[in-house]
Amino acid sequence: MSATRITALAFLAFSTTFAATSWTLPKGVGAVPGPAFFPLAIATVMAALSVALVFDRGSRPAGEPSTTPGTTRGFIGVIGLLFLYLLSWGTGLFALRTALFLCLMLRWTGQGWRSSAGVAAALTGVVVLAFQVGLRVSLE
Amino acid sequence: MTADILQGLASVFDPQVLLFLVAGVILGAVFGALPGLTATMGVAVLTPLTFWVSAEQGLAMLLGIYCGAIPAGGIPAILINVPGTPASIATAWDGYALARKGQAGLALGVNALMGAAGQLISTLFLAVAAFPIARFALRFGPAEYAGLAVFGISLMAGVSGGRVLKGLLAGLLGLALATVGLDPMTAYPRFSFGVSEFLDGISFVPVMIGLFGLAEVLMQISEGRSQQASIDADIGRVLPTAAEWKRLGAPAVGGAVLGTMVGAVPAAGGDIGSVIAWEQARRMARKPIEFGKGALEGLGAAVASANAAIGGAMTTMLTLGIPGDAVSAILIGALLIHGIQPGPLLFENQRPFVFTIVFLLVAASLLTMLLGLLGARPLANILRIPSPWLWAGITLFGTVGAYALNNAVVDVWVMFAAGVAGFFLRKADVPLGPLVLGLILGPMLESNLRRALILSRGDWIGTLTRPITLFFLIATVLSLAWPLVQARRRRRP
Repeated sequence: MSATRITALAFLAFSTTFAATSWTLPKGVGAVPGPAFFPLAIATVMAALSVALVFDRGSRPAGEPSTTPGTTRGFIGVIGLLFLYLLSWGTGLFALRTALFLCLMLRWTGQGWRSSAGVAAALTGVVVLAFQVGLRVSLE
Repeated sequence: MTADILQGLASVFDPQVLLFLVAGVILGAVFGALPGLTATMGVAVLTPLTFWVSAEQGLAMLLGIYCGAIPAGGIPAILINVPGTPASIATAWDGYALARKGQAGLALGVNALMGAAGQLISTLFLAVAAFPIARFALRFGPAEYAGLAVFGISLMAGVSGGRVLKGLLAGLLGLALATVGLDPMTAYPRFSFGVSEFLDGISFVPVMIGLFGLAEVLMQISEGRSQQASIDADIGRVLPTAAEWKRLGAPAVGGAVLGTMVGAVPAAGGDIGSVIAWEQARRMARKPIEFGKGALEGLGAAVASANAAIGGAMTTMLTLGIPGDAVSAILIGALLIHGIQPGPLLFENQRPFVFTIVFLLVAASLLTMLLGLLGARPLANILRIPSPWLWAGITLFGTVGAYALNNAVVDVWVMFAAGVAGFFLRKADVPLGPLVLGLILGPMLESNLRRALILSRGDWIGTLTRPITLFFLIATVLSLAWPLVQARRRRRP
């Protein structure tokens, strides 16, 4: 199945779910549209366009890939690291957690341990100075 | 009016405002000079830093980033043939050719000078044309605003490079996200799923940071786009001679006028403007064959046009409340947080602030020019920074910035979700611009459409056939049909 068709089906699934959830909202009385009016209109148009996209032959010539091949491992690793970092948000020791996250991210993207540690420490220092000291944002 | 102008001017000469402007220009130059980091990303990631200061100071920094990034995008385009921002694509065509001829300094000088000229000419347009446009827009009622919002979204989908259906779907996704929170007419909660923070709607800034910051980082990592350029230390003379100035004049002014017009069209920015201006200058040149081989005229036209799009986009944003490009979309969000609503009423109620913006743009243009002329060599050295360092910095600043907005963890997760979603949407070739526009224009479209229907007692025909509304709807149909017609023509053998 082509990437375009998968995208179309994803949009179709979203519009169907969105329509189903919107249906539970008040629809309005007579000429006065209610809270469901706009979401239902969006869902209907989105569903129609998604169906059109499923059958669209597309402006891109057949056989041409829509994306360049790359390193799946790299971005999945970074998403995973960021997810774990965000899960630990608010548990204290901001500077330490942040430096560790950055160091691992840099290492994951091909930097040496020494430069990763140095850059991670520098970036953490800048953020702590700018947000925690300068703007008095509580990051802990 | 004179008092308003003087008040606006005085605000710019406030030392703190100037300091923020200088910081913004330097940061913008760094973002622009680094391939992969764009003006949009810079403004999105650094917007949270401006919430703790006055509107003038915050806007000074953001406009500084905007004005600093676009000409700086020409630096890698000239030195290594890699545009720093999408607006500097056409800059590379003649700029890199000049650099290969040993005239990198001259190309960088023209980039700085003509960039400033483009910005100043378009700012003049903003100062002159914005008030009449805003006066005209005051005639708009709910139906006209609804029509304008539909037109804006359709335009962005229309210019999505032959991806009209995907562009429209992205716009609808943005509209859908904009419905989260309390209903604008009845305050009925919608799609908040028990999360109290969502009752105010999805915060706009974390979404922007995710879409333009995190998603871009993930794209670059997934495509292995890590690079570290080696730059020749000797770039030669920077300033053009008198004869070269003569050759540059007409193409640069022509490019600036074209860029301003293109920038004023919602969704069309410096990338489109610079290509059109370069092509126009080539057609009018005495020696068109030299274009692409190091023609100063081509470089001047492209650079002036790319930079002039700023004033055009700002005019549309300030007068109609419709973003002219992705950066002005973020600027709208930043202004709203400071309690300033862009649109025609701004020109009635907050005139000094409008002039502050005009003078900030002038000052930013001049500072950018100085930085471009004096700092071309140090800025070129930025290209030596390894990409992974930048990825780490953007991810960290984006995350902390999203949190700092409301001290809410939910905003960090919104940023994360927007980043991952943006990454997959980009992989699927879905343009993100219409999504952002839908998110911004959603509340305006919904409340005005419903208000118009209530006022007309549910008369759809009467609502949609009001002259200005009808004009916008016809323009919408044309803007969507035109790319499809063009695509069909191209496919024909």
